[in-house]
Amino acid sequence: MYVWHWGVVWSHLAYLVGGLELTAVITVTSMAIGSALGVGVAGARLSRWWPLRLAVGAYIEFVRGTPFLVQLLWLYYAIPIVTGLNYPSIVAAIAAGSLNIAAYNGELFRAGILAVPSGQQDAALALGMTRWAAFRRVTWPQALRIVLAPLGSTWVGLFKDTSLVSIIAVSELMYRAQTLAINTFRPAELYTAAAVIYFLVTYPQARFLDRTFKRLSVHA
Amino acid sequence: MSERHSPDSAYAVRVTGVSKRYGETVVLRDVSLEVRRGEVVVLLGRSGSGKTTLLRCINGLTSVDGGEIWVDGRSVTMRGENLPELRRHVGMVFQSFNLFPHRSVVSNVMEGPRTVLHRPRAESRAKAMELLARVGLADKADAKPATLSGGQQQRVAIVRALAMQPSVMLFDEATSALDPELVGEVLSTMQELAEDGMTMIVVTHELAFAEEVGDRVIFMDEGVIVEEGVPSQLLHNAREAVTRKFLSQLEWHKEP
Repeated sequence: MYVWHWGVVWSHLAYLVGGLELTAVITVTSMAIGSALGVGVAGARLSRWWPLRLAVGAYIEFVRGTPFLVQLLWLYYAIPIVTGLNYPSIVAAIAAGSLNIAAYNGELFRAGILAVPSGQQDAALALGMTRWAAFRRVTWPQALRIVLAPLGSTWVGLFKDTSLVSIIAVSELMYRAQTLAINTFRPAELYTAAAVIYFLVTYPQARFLDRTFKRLSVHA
Repeated sequence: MSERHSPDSAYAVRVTGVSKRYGETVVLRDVSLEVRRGEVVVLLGRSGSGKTTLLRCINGLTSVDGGEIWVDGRSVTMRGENLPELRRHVGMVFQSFNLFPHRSVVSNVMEGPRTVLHRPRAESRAKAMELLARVGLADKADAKPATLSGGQQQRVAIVRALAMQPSVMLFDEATSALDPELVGEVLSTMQELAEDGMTMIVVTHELAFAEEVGDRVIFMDEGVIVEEGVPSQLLHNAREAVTRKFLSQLEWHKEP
């Protein structure tokens, strides 16, 4: 029967939980950059110019058709070798996260935009708005409300997936748990602790997003 | 006929030889129509006859394949025409209201003056409240459109268009989506507008409205104007068999 030694977790708890700081930085930055790019991706997918549609479509399929881990390692190891560029692992982590979110949110935004009845744009244009004003004032606010709930899922998914960047030695929560596990020979305690910490932070976010977004979409 | 400004500005709307097709389907063929200022023209015809497409061509929401359209002496169909600028002067009311569901009633009415004309908020709001009061909906100013009845929503849609002070109003089956008991309130708003001298092109199936409010009735079928005339003549003494057939069917569907 295995004897648990939780002392190793308690004595390193501050260091472990401190890893959440980078987890949060990667999540927030990737979500912000990825969502901004995602609006562009959605716009390009809905463009009347087919080469743009095709190029962005290929990008989306590439991101969705390859594992995040592969994209991460490719950005961190392959690009510097090929181009001679050097950047810290946190940059590779945020780049991988952003490019991923851009693809997924791009598809989400596109679906949201298409879900807004075309009569809304007609009404906006009939008032004399330009296409851009009609999008900004009428179509987009409604599209955003439609996709808020799935956007919440993207956020939670990203938050957990940041654990993968531990593989390129970004010192976030998972990397710290791993390092401690190796050094203390206590993987059972440390990976359990990591799981509990992830859950305690993720669950309230998921519930909060769910409730807030549900309320917002009702008032759409 | 290629100059950007039509010399004859007695007409609010001029449509000359307009055609439109979607793939193999011809929706409009060689349609010509002139609407004088202050005139109320009613377009009748079964669904698919091209009435709605004609209306959408007049404010450029749908492009034409051939022919020309002028509104207030300005070309709608010429290449490079500034459509947003032109549409400021052409109000449109849709069958499905198309109010902006994420904005309050008063915001809907303020949207044109604010976003398009960049008028100050206070001024736009005062104007919007005045218009809402005119159709008896001032108390609904802060409500969301979804909480209003269909008839109320359509009246808001009408004043949203009026807030731009258009010179022409286009009505695309404005009462077709309404429950029968709500049709009257929207028609009377439209009638008041006509009595105020607004130039109107009205696509509708309401024969009583056509007779009472219309200056001229046009019957369309399969993308062409079959005949036109003053309401008393066209509605009761149509020349063409196809018109008489359509009118008899409409009569048959009408509430007693």
